[in-house]
Amino acid sequence: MRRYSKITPEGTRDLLFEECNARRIVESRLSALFKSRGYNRIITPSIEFFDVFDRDSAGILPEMMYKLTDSQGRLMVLRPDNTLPIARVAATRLRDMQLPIRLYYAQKVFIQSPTLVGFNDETAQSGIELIGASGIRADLEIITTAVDALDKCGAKDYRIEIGHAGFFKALSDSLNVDDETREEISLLIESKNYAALNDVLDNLQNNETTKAIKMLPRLFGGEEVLDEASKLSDSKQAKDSLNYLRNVYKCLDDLGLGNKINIDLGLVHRSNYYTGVVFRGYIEGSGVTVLSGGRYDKLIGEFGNPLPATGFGVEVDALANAMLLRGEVKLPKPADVLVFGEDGCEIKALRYITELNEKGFICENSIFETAQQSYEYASRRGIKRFVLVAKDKITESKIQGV
Amino acid sequence: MRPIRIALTKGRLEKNSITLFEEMGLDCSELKNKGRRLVLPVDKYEVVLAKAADVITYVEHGVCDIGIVGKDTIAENNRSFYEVTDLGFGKCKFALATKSGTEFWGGYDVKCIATKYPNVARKFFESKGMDVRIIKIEGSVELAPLLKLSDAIVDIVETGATIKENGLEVIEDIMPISARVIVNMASMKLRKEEIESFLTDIEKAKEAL
Repeated sequence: MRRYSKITPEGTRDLLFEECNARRIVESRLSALFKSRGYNRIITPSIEFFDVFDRDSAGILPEMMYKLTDSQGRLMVLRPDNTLPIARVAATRLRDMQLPIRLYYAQKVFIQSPTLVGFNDETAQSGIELIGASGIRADLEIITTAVDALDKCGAKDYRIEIGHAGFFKALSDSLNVDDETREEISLLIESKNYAALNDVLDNLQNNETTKAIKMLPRLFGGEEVLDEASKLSDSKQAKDSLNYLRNVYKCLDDLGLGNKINIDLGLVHRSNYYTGVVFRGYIEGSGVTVLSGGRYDKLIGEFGNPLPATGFGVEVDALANAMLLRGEVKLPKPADVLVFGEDGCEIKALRYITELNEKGFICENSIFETAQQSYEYASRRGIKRFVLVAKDKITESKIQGV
Repeated sequence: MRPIRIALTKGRLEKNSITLFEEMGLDCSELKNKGRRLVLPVDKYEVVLAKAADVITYVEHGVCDIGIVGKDTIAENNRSFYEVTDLGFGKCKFALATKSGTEFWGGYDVKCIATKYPNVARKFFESKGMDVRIIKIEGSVELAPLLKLSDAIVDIVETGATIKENGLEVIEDIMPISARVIVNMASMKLRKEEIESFLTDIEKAKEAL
């Protein structure tokens, strides 16, 4: 018995009509934006070798990936992330390209979520990567494009939070702990778990650094956060990170984005390949992070060709859902015209449809046996015009009551 | 914009939470005379009453902005949100218990653990590098070692009375538990002022009690 022939796997679903429209609108607006900034689209395979994603820097656990094997028994996965395959392409096939390289993508990722929590395993992402570019010009380009991306998708209210991976790194480097504890600390900072963070740090010797790290989850808000943070550490890397962030914040403030941008020094991404400015975006109407990105200067080197890079990815489905919630997406409209060919005029009718299409009308071909049935169908469907194609003439009429 | 929505764990934590809300100066009359209603106005907030595990689900999805829930539920369900305040009530602990007088740690045979919290148990034994077999039990876990289904249990221990009365003893504490305030990640950013003022108020009320 085919038990599962009528349902889709958990974490996946069919997108119908307005849901399709919403995803298409978001994707096309984002693609248009990225293209207008000089980014070129690439498509990477949906199936890749496990090895591409199996690295400490990626933060993707093996149990989160959909796995399969190829004909030689090698381990493959459904792409769980878009940045890693692009890093692979940049380090290999694009190694001789003139820098910087601007790439964009609009493709799905597959992540196995815990069961029955209501999140999708298959989600559409669009994003950009600016490769071979370091410095503030590149960072500002990426962050402002991220803001524009949310704007273009009609987000009524949104926030971008920015942080710096270097600040936490500077602090945690001067802690004398093993990698496991460091990871635990970073998770606790990310979840703003003050209580547990204090417990972990109280077990370590109390010094300036532990005091500073205890403060980290609270360090979010406006520019004043940077003043508070600068009192916490004398390390050069920490100071440099803060100064850089201040610079970025000032530039964005000048752009009039001050009230949309928050600083969050406790922003530690799950993927730890980030090395510099990191950011995330939130919009009204969505409880999840809809955008995330940052600078990752070491990652492409892991694939054999060190290049600085920065970029971000957008959760297309989350933006599309918010758009649906705001009621901005309409159901597909009925066709403009229904065309019925009398017996012997079937081909003539189809030809006439092509003519009307060229004039810009959406036409349905009637598959009914009689004109009467066709007319009734058009009336039910809300099609406004009816065309009858006979041997000697073509007559058009308005459908009554539509 | 809708009012800030707070998911409150029904039952054990409910009374303490209401006391805390009243200390914050919130009008809880509707909440105290709730009848069968599940969504209640509490001053400028909207309170939703839910089972503990559902509180974190509602908060993670952002349909509730703030949640009050026990650390036990948070630890068992590995999910994303901000965990910002330890409210200090609903105190108990996760502990490992065996039949009194048995030697649990010795020997080379794989031990069997009965628990309502398989993830907590798994993580605890993983951190010890110890291979165990875990069986999920829904009701009184203390039964499992008495019936010789398991060698030990991982469970919530409050006073230890139930454990003792059934001839078991705690051999190791795993994690302290108390009520926590959790916040949806997007809400924290989008409605920062309102959420921060709630958190400051609750912090103050906690100190005052």
